[in-house]
Amino acid sequence: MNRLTRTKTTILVAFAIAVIGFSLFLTNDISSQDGQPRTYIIPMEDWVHNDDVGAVRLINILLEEGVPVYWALEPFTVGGTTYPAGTFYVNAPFATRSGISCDATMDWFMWQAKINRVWRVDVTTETFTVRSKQLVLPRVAMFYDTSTYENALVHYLRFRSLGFKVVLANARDIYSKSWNQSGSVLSQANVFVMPGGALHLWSFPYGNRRTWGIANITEFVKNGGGYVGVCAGATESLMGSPWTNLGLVNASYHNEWFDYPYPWQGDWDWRQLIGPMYIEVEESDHPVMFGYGANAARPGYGPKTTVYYYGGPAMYDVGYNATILAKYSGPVTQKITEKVSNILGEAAIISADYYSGKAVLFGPHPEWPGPGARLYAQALYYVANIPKPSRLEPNTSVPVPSMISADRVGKITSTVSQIKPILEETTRTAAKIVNMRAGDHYHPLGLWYDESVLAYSKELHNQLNEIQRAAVKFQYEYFKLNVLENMVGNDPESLQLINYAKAMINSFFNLTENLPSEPHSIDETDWTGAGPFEPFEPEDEATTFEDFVSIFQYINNETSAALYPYAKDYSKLFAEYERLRIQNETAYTPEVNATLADLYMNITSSWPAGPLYKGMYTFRHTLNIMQYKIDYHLLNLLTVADRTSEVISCVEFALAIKVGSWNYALAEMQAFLAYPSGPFV
Amino acid sequence: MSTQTLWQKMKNNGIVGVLAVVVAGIILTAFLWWFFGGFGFWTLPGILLLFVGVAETLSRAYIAVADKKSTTLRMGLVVLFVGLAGYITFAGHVLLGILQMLSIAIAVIGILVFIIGIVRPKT
Repeated sequence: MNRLTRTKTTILVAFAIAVIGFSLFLTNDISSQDGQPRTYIIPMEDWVHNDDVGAVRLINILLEEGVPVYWALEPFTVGGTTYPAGTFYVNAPFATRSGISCDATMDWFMWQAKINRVWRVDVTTETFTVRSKQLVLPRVAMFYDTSTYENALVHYLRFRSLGFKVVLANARDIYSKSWNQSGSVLSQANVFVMPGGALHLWSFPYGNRRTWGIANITEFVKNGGGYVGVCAGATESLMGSPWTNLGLVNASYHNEWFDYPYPWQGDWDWRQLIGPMYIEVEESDHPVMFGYGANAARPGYGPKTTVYYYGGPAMYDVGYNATILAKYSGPVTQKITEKVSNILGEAAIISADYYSGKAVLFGPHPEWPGPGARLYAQALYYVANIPKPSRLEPNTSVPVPSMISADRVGKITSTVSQIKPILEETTRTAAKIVNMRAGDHYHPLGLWYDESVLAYSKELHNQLNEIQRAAVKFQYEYFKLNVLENMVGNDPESLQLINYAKAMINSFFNLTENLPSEPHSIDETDWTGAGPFEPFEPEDEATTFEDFVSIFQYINNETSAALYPYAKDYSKLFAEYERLRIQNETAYTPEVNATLADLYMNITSSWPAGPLYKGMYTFRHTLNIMQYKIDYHLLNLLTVADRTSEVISCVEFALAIKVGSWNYALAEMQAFLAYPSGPFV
Repeated sequence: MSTQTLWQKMKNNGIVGVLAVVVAGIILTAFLWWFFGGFGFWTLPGILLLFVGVAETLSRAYIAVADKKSTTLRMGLVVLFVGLAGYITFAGHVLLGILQMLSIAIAVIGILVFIIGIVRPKT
């Protein structure tokens, strides 16, 4: 090498060293926090950088880990930036529930924020004072019974996206144990959610059991519990409801919409309003409405926002204990007839105090896709005031297995593989039924439940996929935790964390092997005389995950053998009614009108039940099995799977900090070699 | 050899375009840094662009100084700087150990190729 070459090489190497030095400088910029007091602020209104649903999900995980999260109830300024009311912030340092250090927890949070589209979290060492509420994690018990239909499923999906862990509560759960009795669903919750559907108190058996159910809910709220009602769930908490109600909120609603003078007319008017509805915010300073209204920063959140409407209460005569938060402003494109035009300007969202408890009522549906998600989360944060421990804590005193055996995972994956072709056939049949177009929700004669069967079929497919994915991934993660266990040596804190995460994974598999009993009985006939259906006996119910194959086969048989032929016949009646209705409108004659009225009365007869009710209850027979005997279990499994994933994520991050990134990578590689599909399912 | 001549030689080798890549890398890095709130794996595209530009600049400087081409050295520099770009963007994340290892492996390969390029330049 000559002199010139050496000089050149020296220059190049020096330059490269300078670049590497600069690189290390950059790298240090994202190193771990130093334990100094600091505040993490999540700017919820920065819609370009931050997804608010993702932010709420992360906040809920922090709350689950015992991190104190505060909710600013008024605007505040820090470091020259003004944050509006509704901003969330975390003051560090703090102690976590599981013993993971504050710094590790917040490093993990910042990592999660980046991969969950919460890209902007402002960190400041400046101290400030602002009127705030320390958030209590909402432990939601959601009513899930015959009257909740697939709206309970839509609720569950929305809660899941927001990171709320929901307990499904049926009527028996509510009336069979006192609200404060140890082990009762209500004693473990701090918020009770009544979703939409029919009037749910009808799900309670008439008599004492209904009285106890109502008393338990009202006492729960009276003693500091929260109540959130949506659509029908809002209606039946109103004192002014003509039906059996909970009497939590002093208001009435326009129930005259559902009466019609001529029986053959049907209740067309409110159905024409189904769709997105403009909502005008009345109280933008109320915590439930933070981020919405005239000064909303997020597109679609103001000055008027849209929330899906499905015949929910338009409330008026709002009394002493309630505040109108928002009013109906009008439909986006739907037809508004004279009969229901009084919806304009009536209360759409109400907040109320009931003794020590709080209630928030939504006429429209914030759980549906659209800008309502944050609204719903804020309602839950607003009404949840009594801290309750998680129901999903694993029993860490029982020894955990050394590994998750291939047999345990194989039972789940092979079951899903067997179910999928069956479910695909069910979905195809359900789609054919919907395509007969006799299910129209906008029509008084619409069969309605045919779309529910299709929706459930589709969603069950997603849920099975997710459970299968969880099982395979958890086996991989369990192996990785074993490797990490060897790396951390005798460090008691790390060993405790590992044991906790393994117990959580084990509890997921335990649940798949011991499904809890579900109280609904599936009748061979019902009050309409529909059926007889093939018997679904208690011994047909699933006690393990593998048992679902035969239940899916059952609903597949019923969809093709009972629902399809019924829908085919009903669609002919429906088409005939439509033909006469149009003829009646375009070329009215008394004869056509009389024929139309007779046909309508025949179809809608409630006793003896006509084709509409028989059809609806035929579909409900299948839906009951889908909802209670399958999806109830799958949703519970998903809840445990979600929490398990969160625990794994948090614990593994803390362990990675403990053993270092390269050792953690080695653990990942060993786990990958043992279970290659694990991280990629 | 005058600076003017060196610059002229580099210019003839397309250094202006390479510097444009460096500037683009700086701008992209700055944007990603600002947009995502800090430095991390999300700045990789910008850092990658910047570092490839730096590698190309060094390569062209070598060509100008030595007055001969060395594709091996050039490749070595590019691979080294790609590895470095990956490492510095992944190094702050404790869960990205595998990517850190891969980046270092790439950088080491780059160094080896670079040394080969110095010792046995292939023109």
